Amino acid sequence: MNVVVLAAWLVGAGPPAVATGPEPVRTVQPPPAPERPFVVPAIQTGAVPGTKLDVVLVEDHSLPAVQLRLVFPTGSIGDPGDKTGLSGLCARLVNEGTARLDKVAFEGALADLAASVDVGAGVEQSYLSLHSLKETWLPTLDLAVELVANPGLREDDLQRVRARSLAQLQQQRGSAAGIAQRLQGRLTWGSTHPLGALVTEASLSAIGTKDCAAVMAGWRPDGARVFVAGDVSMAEVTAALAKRIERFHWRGQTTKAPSVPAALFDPLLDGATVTLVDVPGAEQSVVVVAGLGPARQASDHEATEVMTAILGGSFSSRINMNLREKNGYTYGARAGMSYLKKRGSFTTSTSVRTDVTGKALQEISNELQALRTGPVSDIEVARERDGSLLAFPASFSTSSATLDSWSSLFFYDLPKDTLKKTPARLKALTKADVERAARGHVPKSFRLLVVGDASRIRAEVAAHAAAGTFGKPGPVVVVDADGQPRLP
Amino acid sequence: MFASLVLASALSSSPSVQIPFERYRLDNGLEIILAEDHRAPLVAVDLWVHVGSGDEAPGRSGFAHLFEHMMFQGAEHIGEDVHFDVLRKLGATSVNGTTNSDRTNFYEVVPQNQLETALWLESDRLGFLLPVLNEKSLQNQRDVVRNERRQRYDNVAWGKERFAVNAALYPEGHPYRYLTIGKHEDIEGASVDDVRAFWSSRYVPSNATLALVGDFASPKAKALVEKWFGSLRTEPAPKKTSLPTPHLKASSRVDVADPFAKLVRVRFVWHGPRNLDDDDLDLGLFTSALSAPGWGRLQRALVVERPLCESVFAFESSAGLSGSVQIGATLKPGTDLGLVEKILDEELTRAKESEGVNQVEINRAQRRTEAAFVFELDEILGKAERLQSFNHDVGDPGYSAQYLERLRARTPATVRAAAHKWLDQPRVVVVSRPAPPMPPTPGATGPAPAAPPKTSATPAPATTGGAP
Repeated sequence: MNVVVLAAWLVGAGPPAVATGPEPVRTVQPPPAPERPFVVPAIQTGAVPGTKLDVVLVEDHSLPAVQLRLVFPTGSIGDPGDKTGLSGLCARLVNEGTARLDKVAFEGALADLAASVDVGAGVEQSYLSLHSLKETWLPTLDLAVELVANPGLREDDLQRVRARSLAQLQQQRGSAAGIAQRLQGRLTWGSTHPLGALVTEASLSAIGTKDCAAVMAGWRPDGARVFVAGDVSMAEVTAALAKRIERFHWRGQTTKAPSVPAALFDPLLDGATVTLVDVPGAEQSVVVVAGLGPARQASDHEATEVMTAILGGSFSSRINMNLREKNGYTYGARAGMSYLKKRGSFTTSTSVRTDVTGKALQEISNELQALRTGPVSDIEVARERDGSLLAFPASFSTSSATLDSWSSLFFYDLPKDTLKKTPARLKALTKADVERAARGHVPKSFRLLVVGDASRIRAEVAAHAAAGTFGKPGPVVVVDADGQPRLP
Repeated sequence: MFASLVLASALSSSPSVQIPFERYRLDNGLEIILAEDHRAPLVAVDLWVHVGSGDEAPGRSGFAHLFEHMMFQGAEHIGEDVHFDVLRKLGATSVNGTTNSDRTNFYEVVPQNQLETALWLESDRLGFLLPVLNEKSLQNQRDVVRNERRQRYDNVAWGKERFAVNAALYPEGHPYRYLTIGKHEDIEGASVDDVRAFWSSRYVPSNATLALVGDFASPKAKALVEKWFGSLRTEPAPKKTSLPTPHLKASSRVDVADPFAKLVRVRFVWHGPRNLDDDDLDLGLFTSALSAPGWGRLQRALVVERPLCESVFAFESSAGLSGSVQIGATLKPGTDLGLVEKILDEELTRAKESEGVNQVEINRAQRRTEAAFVFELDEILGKAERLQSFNHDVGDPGYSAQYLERLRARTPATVRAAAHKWLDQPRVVVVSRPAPPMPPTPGATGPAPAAPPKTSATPAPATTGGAP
């Protein structure tokens, strides 16, 4: 039948065209045209009069638009142990409106301005952001500042956002990817570490409007920083903020988040190298291989980034070419470092067809071992080093991209000449530097999480656990979506 | 001090959304769009081939997308599987390709001095794909695409629902029936001969448009385009598929048992107009007024003022052959499905009537679209995609201003009339419910027929639903 359909299709399409044969000129990659010297776009810095609120601006008049982000150095790392999820839930509550305008009125006012305003909480910083056309940026800023200075924090709003969070929590436990996301923090940092704590029904239910009022009392101008990109001048930004801080009687010092402690593994809860969560009927197994990594401030940062890029930073990386292009086990596989303010972690992840889970784990382990102990090729180093170097101008392709590049220096407390020096540091990298970074920063042992259909993959996963493919040999520990042990 | 805020809400002027561009054709029919933008030393290279899953033959679902993957597997002069590698090494960003029902795009953003290499790569796969085509790489990409389907549809909550919606709207034989991703057995059944035939008939230069946006001088760019694309074959463009708009004869309900969903979701679905018809604009505004955060009618009724649902949605999705209008809600645990369906119907009825969707709501939705047009001009790739999409849809890359003018001309009366015209028709109610795990799909590496969703015809739009 297929043949008939195909034939009909070909007839309808006319005779197949014939390629005219190779063209020799095409066999050689064209040489690049001359490079144009690139200078990192500068920022302006300033301060809001009468406050300790610093401003970082990328002024750009090419579009009539403004993006502003007010960043507070406080976040979920400060959530108390019995109220995990506090910062996140409070940010959702604040987005429900101000003391003056309820959710419907607040969103209506924003829609009239064709603008967006959002409040969010991360691990070590929280933010208020706005995006608007130049024409409406001042009334939008009014609404934005009102949101954090005079949030509504209504009891019925809390009930509503909590109920939605509880429903989403229930859904998160339903799929392999959701469960992996849920357990990744404890896999990396340990179950007694603040980043290993799980949001649960109990922790969400323990949070009251008073708790959120306390959180928001810690979002204050002094000690915060404003990042702005777009069609405004420094004078416009500082004047606009000064006036609004005055108007909302919004004063005081931001609560600083505590620093993230070192990984804290509990011998009883985190003793196993390999953890399995059963999702009956899963068509794929989600695989997360976690380890710790260097901090962003490490002196060999560029070498580490090139090293992890070779492993899993792009389509051309070893792990993607192996698992996807050679073996067809997955749609994609990635590996790389993530950085908190002062700490780093190293994650390799993918989602593989259920029936090749064991084989895929072996390939991942082989790649990690080969990187840690084996050579990298000149071709790989050239590709990732030169690629990063030549892609560097793209990190400044728009004013908001420029601002993002600069804001990371503030987050990591890096010297202000870091961006300027990055190209030269990349250029100087050698194969030996990259191999040294691999020896130093690819852990000898990892912790592995597999989320999939246990009835079909357990034996293979257990074999890897027993063989110590990823770390200390031992049994595979089966847990539920909340990390609680399940009896075999 | 805020009283004037809401009143002074209309934008006093419409920001310019004009993108200066130049358009021409090579002798072989390849269409070229050039737009200089010198803000950063980069060029976006964006090739659209005017073929999508809507052009697939019955039994070949998913093929246009599988073919898109094969375009990254190499070509005669550049070699096998080197596309990403070459681009990575020269500092390209945003390298990818995507397929939808109407078109397939291939794009990369390269440093300005590497434009020629991007043209070298793109021209080789458009002109010389077949010499390196082989069974091994096709088998690999069949596996990869099936993994993509598993990751995006089969192993996540509400993936089954997406297939159920299109199966209810489109009869067997209609190319939209199995979504762009397609059926496992069709992907598995695709042969090297199929790839060859598709390339020969569909991937002809006269059926493609190349857009360059960024830091180049047009005369130089034109010479480079001619150098790399000018010698490609001259063939007539294939005729676009034209199918009658399907109609639902009667309303129906579909129950989807979803082992990965932990919440109940209900969705009302109607056929909708084609892309850029007046009704398309009207229904886009209508569904915005239902779904906008906070003030949207369904948000108020089911999330904010009566907190029955985890979320609500309403959208209109239009493509080349037809579209759909969909509204619905994901219920909080314990919420009665019948009550939610009843409220959805009441809100829908109210929104269509004379006290319904009003000027304030329409202004908000219009302004949001205008602002989005301005924001997307920030990125050169966003500009390239904007030029390409209007060129594809109406044959005019510079249609933005006219589009926004048309959008601004819509009124509460036209919006409500369009809502009546399309939403008074028969519809499908799709209910996804949490279900126990299913047995593993047979033959994870071979053909895998999916169980069809249960469908039952009901004489009238259902306003009440049974308990789970």
